[in-house]
Amino acid sequence: MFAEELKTMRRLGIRHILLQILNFASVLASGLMIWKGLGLITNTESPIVVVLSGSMEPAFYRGDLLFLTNPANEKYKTGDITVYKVPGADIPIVHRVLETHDIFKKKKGAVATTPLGQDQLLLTKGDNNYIDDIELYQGLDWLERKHIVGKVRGFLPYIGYVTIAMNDFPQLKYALLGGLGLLALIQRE
Amino acid sequence: MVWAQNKQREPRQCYKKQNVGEEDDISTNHNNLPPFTLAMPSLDELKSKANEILEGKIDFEGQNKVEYIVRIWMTAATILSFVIGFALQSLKATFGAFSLSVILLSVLVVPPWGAYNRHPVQWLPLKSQTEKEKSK
Amino acid sequence: MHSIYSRINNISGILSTCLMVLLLGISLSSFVFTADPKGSLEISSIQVSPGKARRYHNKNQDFAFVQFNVSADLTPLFNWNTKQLFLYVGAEYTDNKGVRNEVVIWDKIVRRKEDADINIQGRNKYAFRELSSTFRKAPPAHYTLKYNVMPYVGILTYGEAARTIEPVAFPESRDLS
Repeated sequence: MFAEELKTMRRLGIRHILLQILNFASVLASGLMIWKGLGLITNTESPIVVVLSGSMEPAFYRGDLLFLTNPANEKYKTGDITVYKVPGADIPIVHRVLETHDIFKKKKGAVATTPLGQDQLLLTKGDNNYIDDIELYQGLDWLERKHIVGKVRGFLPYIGYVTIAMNDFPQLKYALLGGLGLLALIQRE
Repeated sequence: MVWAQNKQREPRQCYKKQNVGEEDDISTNHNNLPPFTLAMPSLDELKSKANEILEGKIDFEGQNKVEYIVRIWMTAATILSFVIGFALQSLKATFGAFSLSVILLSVLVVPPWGAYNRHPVQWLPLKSQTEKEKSK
Repeated sequence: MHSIYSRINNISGILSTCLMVLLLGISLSSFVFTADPKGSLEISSIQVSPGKARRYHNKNQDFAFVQFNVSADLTPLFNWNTKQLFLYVGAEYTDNKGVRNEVVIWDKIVRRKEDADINIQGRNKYAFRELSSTFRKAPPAHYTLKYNVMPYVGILTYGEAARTIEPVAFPESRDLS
């Protein structure tokens, strides 16, 4: 079955294969660069996330793509949709802010009215849930700024479903990766 | 060296053809048979016929035409479906118009219609071995 | 472009580009619609009553019960790229220590343009509590009706449709039972 492919590989020679590997690596590297660059601009660790649960239906469904920002000098308001990750929980959660309380914090060099001088206590709730998220906070009473990855700014439906499919069926991931790699090696043009 | 009289849009293909021919020559010469022998259509030939239909080759002029049609059609479809949707204030209309035009386009250009095969490649007659050596 | 496979490949490549352009155009078109509808919000009654904190059952905690009338015509917010409206009524007050509080007490999702002309007498859906567990020292609070327009594709936008004219004071806590 692979005899034909092997023959073309032998004909193309080692230089060609090396070049293809280099191309592949440069695609990967530029992807990573774009991701990290976006993260720098938007000030979040992951500027694009995929919705994994139905707790924000009918606003967001599984597989929708969300674009996040986390402006450093802006406070969160009620109604904002945040992505947060509390220590101890392994997946980030997308929920809407229900309560905010801005507490003064005695901090050297910070003016009380600036965001840095204030600590914000947040409570969130999923649109599709009946009660707030306090049970999800792993023992914390309030969510704080440091737990928040970012707030949702833009929205693109369905596109992220590929990643969910890959999570649900891990074989698909390996098949896709292997197929792409093989194609990159064999391609003549 | 000129292999074909037609405008060469994808010269690589011509070379490929030549390569295949050479390989065939080598294999037949191996068995000490003349290069062109007529035989009953074997299973291999039937297979290659099926492959040909599946491949749906069109000529160079046809490829040029298809590329042009696809580009113009898709640009127009994008703009038109946006305008239709905006005018009717409905995303359903936008994506309905867009997918309809994509389906129409696929019907128009994917199968190898006769119109894309009107300009077959005119190959030059084979030069004899001696002539080739002279030209070198 | 010589074979069926390469033609399909070419079309799908251009298709994805065109689709991205189309989606970008749709999301940018939201900026053309700049409706800013206004409505009214009145607080009809507030009661404060002591209760037990949800997590710490030995701790007392005041709960406020708010009844309100809200009316607003939000149909102009619906355009071709509006998936739904998220409406919420919230209380805002800053206490004498400078702690700024914003608490959502009620919300509603509107999914159709026909339902967007709202006229509702409601009461708070969510527990309205104070950080210090009592409303005794809390200053009068403003109540607002805000909305979040959620598009099919593109940017989420926020706005305020109504606000109480005068801040409303919290009454003395008394046992309702």
